[in-house]
Parts: sequence; C-alpha cells; structure tokens
Amino acid sequence: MGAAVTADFTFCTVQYDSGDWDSAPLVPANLIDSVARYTSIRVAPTGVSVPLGSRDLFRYPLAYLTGHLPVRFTDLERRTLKEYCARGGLLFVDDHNHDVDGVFHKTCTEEIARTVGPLKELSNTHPLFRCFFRFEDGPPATSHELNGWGDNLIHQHLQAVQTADRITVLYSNKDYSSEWGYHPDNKRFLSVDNTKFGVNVVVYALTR
Amino acid sequence: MRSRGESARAWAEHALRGAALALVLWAMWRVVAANRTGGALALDGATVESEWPKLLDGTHRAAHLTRGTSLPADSTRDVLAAFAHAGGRFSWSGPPGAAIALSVERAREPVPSLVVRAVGEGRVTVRDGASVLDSTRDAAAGMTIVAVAAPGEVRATGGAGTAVVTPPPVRPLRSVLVFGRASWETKFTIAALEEDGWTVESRVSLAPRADMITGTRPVLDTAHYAAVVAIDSSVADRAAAIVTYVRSGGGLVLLTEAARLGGFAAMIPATVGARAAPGRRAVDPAAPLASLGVTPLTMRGGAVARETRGSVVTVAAQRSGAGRVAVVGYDELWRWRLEGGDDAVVAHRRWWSRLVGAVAADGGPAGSAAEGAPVARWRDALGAPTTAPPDQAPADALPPWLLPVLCAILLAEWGSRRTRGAR
Repeated sequence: MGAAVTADFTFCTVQYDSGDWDSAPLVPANLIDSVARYTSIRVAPTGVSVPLGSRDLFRYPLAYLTGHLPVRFTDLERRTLKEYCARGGLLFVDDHNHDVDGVFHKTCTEEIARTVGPLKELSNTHPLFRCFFRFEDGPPATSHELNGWGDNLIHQHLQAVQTADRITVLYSNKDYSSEWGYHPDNKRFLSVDNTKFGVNVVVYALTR
Repeated sequence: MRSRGESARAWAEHALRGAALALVLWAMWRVVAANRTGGALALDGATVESEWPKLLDGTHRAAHLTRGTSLPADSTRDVLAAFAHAGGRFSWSGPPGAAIALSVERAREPVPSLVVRAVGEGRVTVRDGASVLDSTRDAAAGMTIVAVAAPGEVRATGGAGTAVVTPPPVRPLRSVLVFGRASWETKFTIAALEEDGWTVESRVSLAPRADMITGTRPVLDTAHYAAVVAIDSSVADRAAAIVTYVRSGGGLVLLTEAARLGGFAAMIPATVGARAAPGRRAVDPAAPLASLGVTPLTMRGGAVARETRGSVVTVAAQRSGAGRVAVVGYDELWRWRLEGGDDAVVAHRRWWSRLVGAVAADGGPAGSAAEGAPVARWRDALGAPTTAPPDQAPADALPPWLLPVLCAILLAEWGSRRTRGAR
C-alpha cells in the first residue's frame, strides 16, 4: 500500500501586527518554484502566512519576514520569536526598502536585537553561501543595489544572529524582496536566475 | 612337637597381633597429631574477618562459620573457598541471607549515564557515592534506574544484604551516520543527536546528483559507526551495505519511509502500514509524543515493542545477525521539538539518543555489565548451610574403617588360637 506523500518544506511568510508584512506577495511562489526546479526537496506548491504571535509558526522552521514600514513587535510576538529561534527555527528578514537609514531597518534590527540578540556581520565564507549554489563573493548583489535604489549602497555582507554556529536570524539589506518579486514564469527571460541564493537559504535552513 | 601347620598358624597369629598393635599405634598417632594441629576452627560473624588468617598457617584442617545475618566480605569468602578447595573441611550455618543482586552497565549514550538493575527481597535502596539514586518497597520483580551517577561504587541494600558493584569505565562512542533528504526530520534528528553528544556524520540528499556530506566517509562498518539512522527513501542506494553492516553488529534505526524499502525487508522487526493521518494534527504541548501522527507497525516474530500507543506499536526492535534494528512509526518527530512543551527540546533529543543507544554497536569489553549477587556467590563458593559444625578433631582424625578392620584382625587371631587349642 502506498504511503501518502507530504511536503518536507512549506514556505512561510510571517505576519506581524505593525507594518506591511505582505509587501512582497510574489516572492513565495518564485522561491517555491526555484526550490522545486533545482532540488529534490518536497516543497509544498503554495506557501502559508502565519502570524508571528501564533503557535502555528512552530510548524514552519523557516520563516520569511519583510516590509517597508516601522516594525514593532508585540510582547506575544517577541516571546514567540524568541522561543521559535531557541527551538531551532530560522527567521529570514529582508529589508524591502534597501535603506540602512530607512524605518524598517532601524526598527527591525532594534526589535531583533531586543528579542533574539544582536545582529553581526556574516562572513562571506559562511556555509550559507556554499550549501547548494556557490557564491564565492558572498551574497549576490541585487539589481536595485546596482541601480542606486534606496540607500544607494551595495551591501557586501548579510547580518545574522548565530547560536552555536547556527543562524537563528538572517538579516538582509539587499532587498531580495524586490529582486525576487516577479512571477516564476518570467525566469525564462533572465540570463541568470537571480533566485538561486533563495534556494541556498532554504537548503541551509533544512540542513543546518 | 608342633606340626608344620600349627607353626604356620602360630606365625600368622603373631602377624595379626602385630598388625593390630600397629593399627592401634597409628590411630594414637593420628589423634595426637590432630590435637597438636588444633582441630576445627570455630568462626562466627563477628570474628571471621580477623580469625580467618589462622586457616592459612596449617594449624587447622577444618573450620565452621556460624554466620550472622550479614555476609562476610568478598575477600573473606574467597579465602574460605580456597581453604575448602585446598582440602580443608569448611561448613557454615546461619540464615541464608536476603537475596539481592545488582547489575550496572554504561548506557550506550554520550551522556555518561548508568543503567542500574537491582532485584531483591523486600525493600531495596540503590545509592551511588553521593546519594540515594532510587528505592522501592518491593524489588522482587526488579527495578531499573537510568541515572548519571557520582564516581565510585554503586550499592544496593535490601534487608540485611548489600550488593556492591564498581561501574565499568566510560568508553568513547563511535559516530552515528544519518541518511535523509533535506527535510525538517533530517535536520532536527541530526541536531538532537549532536546536542546530546553524539558525533554525527550525514549524507543529506539535496538533488538527484547533489548530496551534502559531513564526516570522514570511511567504510560503513562497526569500527567507525555505532549506528545508522535512515530517515527516508534516499538511503535506498546504501541499503545492501547497511544490511551487511547491521549483520556484523551495527545498529540501525529506520523511520517509516526507509522501512518500506525492499532492501531492508528481510531484517525489519515490523512491517509498516499506511500512514494513518497524513494531514497535520495539532501537537498537544502537554503530550507531544502521544499526539503525533503514527503509522501503525505490524510486528514480526522475534521482534519486541519498545513503545506502544494503546494497542498500536509505535517503535519495534529486534536483532538481526549480530546487530539490532529498530523501526519508528511516529510521523514528523521534529514537531515534538518545535511544538512540544517547555521541555520538548531536551525530551526530543533524549528520546533520540536513547533509541540510537539501544541499537548501537557494542563498544567492546568496557561496555559489559558489572554484576553483584553476594548471596548467590556465597552459595556458589561455599555450598549450602549445615545444621551442625563438623566433627571435632579426635574423631575426625580416625578413619571410619579403622575399628571394623581392627576388630576383624583380633577376631581372626583369637579364632585361630582357639580352634587349634591354644589359650
């Protein structure tokens, strides 16, 4: 008798009470497409959105958080996030403003430091950059960085909170939310698929 | 003048008288010699520890111990047994002793815990060098304790008996090899084992021709690996090698998807049914393991159920060749760690560590159990108790055949004389 096949990975977007958590609605489908395209990971065909203060978050050990607006977690959200990271969850945060002077960056990094721990620069030799596709120079630059969007900077590094060599919060100012925010069918128009680094984030979360 | 026949009989009568006299003199010498060597040594529970050296200088050929309720030291028991085996006569009397037995072995886990098993009559208390580990009012059915004990001896005391065992030394454990796809189950199984102290090597399948491999990748044998954990069907290409490894003494844990592989069919302790509820059930934080989905296992002959949920077997195990295999019927065990109660992270990793330890290849002599069964050893070495001490020295010195032989000689001599008319 055959066994029912269930997904090994479901893409999860975090809802938080403040800000615009749903500012990148096309990213989940695009990353799901890439994971299915390049790996044998059994990925659920659709993602989910889960409130940060909900126990349901613990069903999804990788969660994606983005936005443009100020981020202020509630006490429940802080408690849930702290426990989530302690139990092995990984929160991937991307600054949709691409602006270190922007309100999202200032408030979100403050909340992360207060809740989980201080963010520190992630070495570009970290296994995250080699666990599936190889990114010898660290995180790939986005077209928005190269075009002068936001803070007009190319951010050479990602930041992270690490516990015992494991990333619990991965923080990006590179605006991957804009870079990956297109319909997966349009990948065929790209000479190089710019979502490959997103696959690395998923593979890293599933293996480390 | 005597005839030649009478002369011969007279000579024989002289010989018989001489023999009788010789026997009497020999018996007297035996009695004197026995008196000179002190006869049986009387010992009791209070004096045996200080008096037994007298058995070593040859002054006593017998000894009797009137034992109290407690057993003498093991060294004293060994001296008494050696005395008996060297030709001395030893007996003992007294209460048989409260039967108690203690076994201590190292758990096959990185945490240096001991598995202590004790059985005895009535109340038994087990303690290490620091404190009481556990006790039970009636240990007739046995008691098992898994604990990280203080260095030194472990003692089980019950009634008047005490069993003392020095635990085997801690030994290094070999690695665990995990096979699985990139999944939460694979990730958190590796994490649980590593956090509990195991050295984990892994082959995580990412894509058809892309594996993430950690570890040294030596030959899959018991010299390198204590156990293999197969999470899913990605292990299929190594099934034959794993079967050989297990039959040579290795350990194997199979989750349901891996247990369905044909390559393991001949060695699995239970067949795996259809997954009962593939949908997501809520995990009860108060009883996370009991609320996980389960794929029922159908036991095969020779297998044992390590865990059950009601009538459903959730973990089954059996021996296969020189190794051990366990099949786990729980689905999405990782959710226990993420969605369980406050102790879920620790409980999840302890569960995994104990399961892997239960099947892990034995590390050799250092892992064997140390046992203490003082009453049984006493009886084995010195036999059953007697109701009376052995005979005292003078009587003991004379063999039982002496009197009948002496009487027969004298009767023959007397009869010979009377039948030939002599006085």
